[in-house]
Amino acid sequence: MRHRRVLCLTLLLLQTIFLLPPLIAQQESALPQRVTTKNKWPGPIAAHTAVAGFWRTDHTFASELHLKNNLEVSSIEVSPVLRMGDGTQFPLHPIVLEPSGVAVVDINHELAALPAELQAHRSEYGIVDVRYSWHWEGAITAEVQSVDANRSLSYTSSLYPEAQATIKPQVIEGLWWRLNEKTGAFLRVTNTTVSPQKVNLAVLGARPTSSSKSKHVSLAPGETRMLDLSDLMRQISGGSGGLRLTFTAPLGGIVADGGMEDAAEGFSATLNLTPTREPRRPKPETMVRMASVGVMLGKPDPSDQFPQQIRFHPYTYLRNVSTAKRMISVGANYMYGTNARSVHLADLVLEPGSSSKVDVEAALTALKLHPAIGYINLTYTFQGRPTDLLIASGSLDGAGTYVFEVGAAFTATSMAKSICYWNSGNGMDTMLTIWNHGLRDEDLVLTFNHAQGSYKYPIHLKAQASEMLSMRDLIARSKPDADGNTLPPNVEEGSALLSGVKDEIEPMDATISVSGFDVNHATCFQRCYNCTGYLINFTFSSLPFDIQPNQSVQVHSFATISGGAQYDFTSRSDWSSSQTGVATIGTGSSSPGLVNAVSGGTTTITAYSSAMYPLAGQYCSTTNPCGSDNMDFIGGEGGGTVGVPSALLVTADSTATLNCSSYSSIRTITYSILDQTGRPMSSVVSIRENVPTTVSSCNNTLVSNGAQCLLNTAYQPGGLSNFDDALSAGCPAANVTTPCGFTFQNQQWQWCQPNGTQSVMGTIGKDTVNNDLITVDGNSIGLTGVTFHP
Amino acid sequence: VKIRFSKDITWKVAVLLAMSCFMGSVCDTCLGQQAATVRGYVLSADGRPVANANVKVLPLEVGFSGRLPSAITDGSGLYTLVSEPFGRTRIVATKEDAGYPDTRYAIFAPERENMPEVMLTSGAHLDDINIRLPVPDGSIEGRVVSQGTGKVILNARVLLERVDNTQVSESTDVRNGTFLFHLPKRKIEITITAPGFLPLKVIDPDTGRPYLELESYDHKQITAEMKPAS
Repeated sequence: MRHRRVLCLTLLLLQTIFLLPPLIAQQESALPQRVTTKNKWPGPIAAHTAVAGFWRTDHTFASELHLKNNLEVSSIEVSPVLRMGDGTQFPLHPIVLEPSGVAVVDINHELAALPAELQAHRSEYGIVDVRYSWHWEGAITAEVQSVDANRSLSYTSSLYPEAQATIKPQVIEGLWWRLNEKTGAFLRVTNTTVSPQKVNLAVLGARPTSSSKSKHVSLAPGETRMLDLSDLMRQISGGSGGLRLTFTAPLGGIVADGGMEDAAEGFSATLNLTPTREPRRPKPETMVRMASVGVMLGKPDPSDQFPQQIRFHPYTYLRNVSTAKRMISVGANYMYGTNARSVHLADLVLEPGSSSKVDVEAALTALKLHPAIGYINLTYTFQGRPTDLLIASGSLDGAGTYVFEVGAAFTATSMAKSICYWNSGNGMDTMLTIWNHGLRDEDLVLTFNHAQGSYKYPIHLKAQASEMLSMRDLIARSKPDADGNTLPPNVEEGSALLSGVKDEIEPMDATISVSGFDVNHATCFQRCYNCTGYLINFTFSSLPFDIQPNQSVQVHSFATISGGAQYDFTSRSDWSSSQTGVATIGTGSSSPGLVNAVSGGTTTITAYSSAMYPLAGQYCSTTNPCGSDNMDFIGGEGGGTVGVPSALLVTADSTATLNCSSYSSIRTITYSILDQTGRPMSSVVSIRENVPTTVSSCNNTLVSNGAQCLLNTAYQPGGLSNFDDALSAGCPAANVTTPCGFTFQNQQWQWCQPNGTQSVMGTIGKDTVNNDLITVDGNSIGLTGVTFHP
Repeated sequence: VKIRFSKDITWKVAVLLAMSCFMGSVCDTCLGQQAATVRGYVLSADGRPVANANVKVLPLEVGFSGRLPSAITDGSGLYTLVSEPFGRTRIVATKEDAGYPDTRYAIFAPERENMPEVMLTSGAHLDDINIRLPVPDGSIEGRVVSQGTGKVILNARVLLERVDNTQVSESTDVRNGTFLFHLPKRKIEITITAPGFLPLKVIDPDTGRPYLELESYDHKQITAEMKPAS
């Protein structure tokens, strides 16, 4: 007992030391400013597909595809494609999702309209893919809900990223558990690639060395197979165990999920599976806390309309899928009145690959908690990584008919969390539990988006406090929010966003779970959520820049979040220039982003920001690892040119009779200003003509010239680099002796530098401008193609 | 701007400075000489505003060199042109891609004059200087190629001449072997020259005449096949 207390206190101390201080520091810094002007997106528009959401229509299963537009700034068109078990495709009509909007596709209804030519391929299960085009992956999220109301069975399947090209040996680890010996299980496996794949499937006991049963599965391209694991499981003793799929395929090429079920008792639960991929960058082991929030206890609230006799019993099964022993401390947090309390429940040690039940109910009974406590938040603390444990938890009634599963999520500081779908009405309701897992109070807001608008529900949670909400109650309450909006009674579905009150990028310490349930049919399904995150690439204003020596330009960096909002990161970026001899750039507190051109050439400007929340969990999941475990760098780069006006190229040259009463000519020469590399300047140049200012022409009037420095903006026939030199002796008056005109001995064009000095871009030479003949550098015919140098 | 001369600066220097400033391009204020501002609308023949027209000046009393001021009309056809005080000046509007060539060149002048003449004096503000464009000109588009090989000739020159002995002409280099001119309804000869080739007089492909006389909105295309000189 003493040892257990020591372990518990040590873990608690480590948790306090390692988990919280950096997160608190993040919370204290000012938030980046959201920009209202539309900047370009970080990347071109491209086709994406979310794949392999599992549906089934066997027995009396009905499947629905729930779609959500993650974008707050744009509608998006999505095209679902149903795939039969053999991979045969059945494209459905495209659907336009409004910003943050949701849509539901009745898969049974769509299958009823399967064309005659596809009838031979019809199957009782398959997958659905969703295609869309956007500037980044994850603009939509989707899940498939399969419910057999008659038999009280229900499952939820998420859609996955497309398979990547890299072929690697891979492992998917799983955790099964059973109510009793009659509990069976199924596994669906999909080959999302265009090549045949082989998968080795092993069903393991609680200790992997104790017993295992395996089989090989061959999958044709695109094929989905539903495997009955019941026989294999029956050969293994014990109440829980592992599952291991091994294969060599493209990353994401094999997708699997499944469930435990006892159709006679109406029992169904998720078969937890996770791919054990090597992380992009190996992460050190830290003190990790996972949590299952909103685990129902005892007698349910009468307002939830469960049958009178129902009592909920919590359950938890754990499996260590890491390669090292894990020492796990299991605790519970609950609300007692308005106060949050935490208790320690159990400690256990799990060897690699082994699994175990945690008798939560016995531990709670021993603690003699008040019977009015309706739900608890279970915590699992250990030294390791968040992906080390597979956790199955929730609560069920005595018969195993009502199974409220609660996924275990990593408790980390994160930005907003987006709930993909909620519904209420027609016997359905959605329950949301929010736990402030931090040590400081949190002011949060739940924004419910629905077809008729939105509704904001403010939540103040003391440190460690939690709140459970029912959508049915919220709608019935009809209380206006700060903007005067209510949830209309006829609203039945939508999406939601949990965020800090200031902005959705505000860091928050909130762990959530979302469950949909149908009391009448004793079905319950976890709803998925995904994490608001920054896209890895910045966008920039004023990049690429094209300026001249001694000029400056302010570059701004913008970070884009998954919903499409953009934030000014200029002052938060570390800036650098690859060629400081060409241009320097300010960083830190010294004019961040301000480029100062030094000399001709090109440079690459780089900006990055560290310790942010890059886009994670783009695909909807009930256990998305939102938060600081995914911290990384965001940034980008762009080019810049410092051009020095260095030569003049004649691009057009025409001579014409001037439209005046006496005979005279006009010659118009169009010059292109070339930079030091011979390319036309693409920045606005200030130029002047260097000729004598006291020359007279035909009517004994002074010749007008371009001696004053002027930006070459209003005088641009065809481009920034071009200007016209119009030469004419003017219209001779009737009493003037002709031919008449003027001569410049050495016409030059100069670049007026920002520092006030002038340098020659091109020396043209002698101009003789008479009313009947105009020669430039001795040429009277045409100079097109000739380049004049200084 | 107040300029104070020290005693040892001679009056000649002062005069030179004044002249220099007067001769400079557009200046807001410079030793007493201020820019002139001209505002007005550019309208089509049927009275509609012409957006993105280029409004230019043609000084009539002075010789000139360098960039002449210009302005672009907005969506309502309004322009605001800031110019040096050139004295008597014509204001013209061009929009090549809509069939309105630069009528400062006599060859493109329409039958009815459309260039308001104004007096640009120091600091003048002239409003309602509206330019009513005629109906758009017809156009002639051509390719200059070598006879026999069909190879494009890049360094040709096109000479446009009125055939009514007015000595009105326009001569321009051909860019990329192609040319496009908008021409008023006048008899105009087109002669193409290129180094190493015999001069070519363009024949109207429809009438067989050695000149063109285009109606408004006409569009003719020709391929000028140049015969090598040797």
